[in-house]
Amino acid sequence: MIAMSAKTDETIVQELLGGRKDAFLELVDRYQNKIYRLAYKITGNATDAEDVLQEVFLKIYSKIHTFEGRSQLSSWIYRIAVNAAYQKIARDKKSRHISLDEVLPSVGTGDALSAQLTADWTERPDEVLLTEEARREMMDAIRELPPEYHVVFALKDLEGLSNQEIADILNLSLPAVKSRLHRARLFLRKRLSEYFERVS
Amino acid sequence: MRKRCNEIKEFLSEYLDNELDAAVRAEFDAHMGNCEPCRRFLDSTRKTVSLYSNLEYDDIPMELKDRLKSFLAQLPKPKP
Repeated sequence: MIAMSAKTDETIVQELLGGRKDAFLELVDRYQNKIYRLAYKITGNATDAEDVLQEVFLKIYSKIHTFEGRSQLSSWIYRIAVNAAYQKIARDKKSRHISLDEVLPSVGTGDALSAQLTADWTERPDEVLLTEEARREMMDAIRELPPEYHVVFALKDLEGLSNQEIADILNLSLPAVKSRLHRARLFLRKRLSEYFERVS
Repeated sequence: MRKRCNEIKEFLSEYLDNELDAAVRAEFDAHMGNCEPCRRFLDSTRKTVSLYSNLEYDDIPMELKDRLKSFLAQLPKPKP
């Protein structure tokens, strides 16, 4: 057991390339939790996360010979997992643009502006806000995001990647990442504000 | 003034991520110091990001681990 956990990723790859299937199962043990949680964050539900998990390991198994070792194995696997999860939500959800008009208070209507901001739910502690219903509402709100916004928000605010890392993984420009992140956050702010003001 | 409020909100995400240069950040702070609705908007966006960032996710369920292992065990042996 100690020997197994001390084995490096590189050793596992060499053993797998040498035809040892048990090496693959070691790799599965090592990465299944990380991939599952990542897939859950991006897809927003357990069923899709399971599909992604299976797809990712199938891909690793069939493509391991293409891994050239120029990056860490963990980075290679991470990229495969992000793309698989993104493709999953892109297949299931319609792409659309989120305009700032949709997520900002109406310009020039003072009443609308103040009315949207009167109930200050932000001063309530997290443990008061985060009921089971609120958690479901938060996950529902993420799933309402168009896929291209959803994936950027998940990688940044749920997974903690930098904007540059997201740009590299998704082949986007840095301004595109920032723009999608900004709109996604404002969309979710609006949804959560409406919810918390309604239940207060 | 209202238009100015929405203009300043374009910088909100970068402000939260500490990515604004000093001059724009100072302008942003000055506006927030004088505009209660914008400050509330900032607070609610910050709180939204914080709530999502602090969500905890379960590990892979044991039954899924077993299912995955059974499925992958059926794959043909890799050719060296």
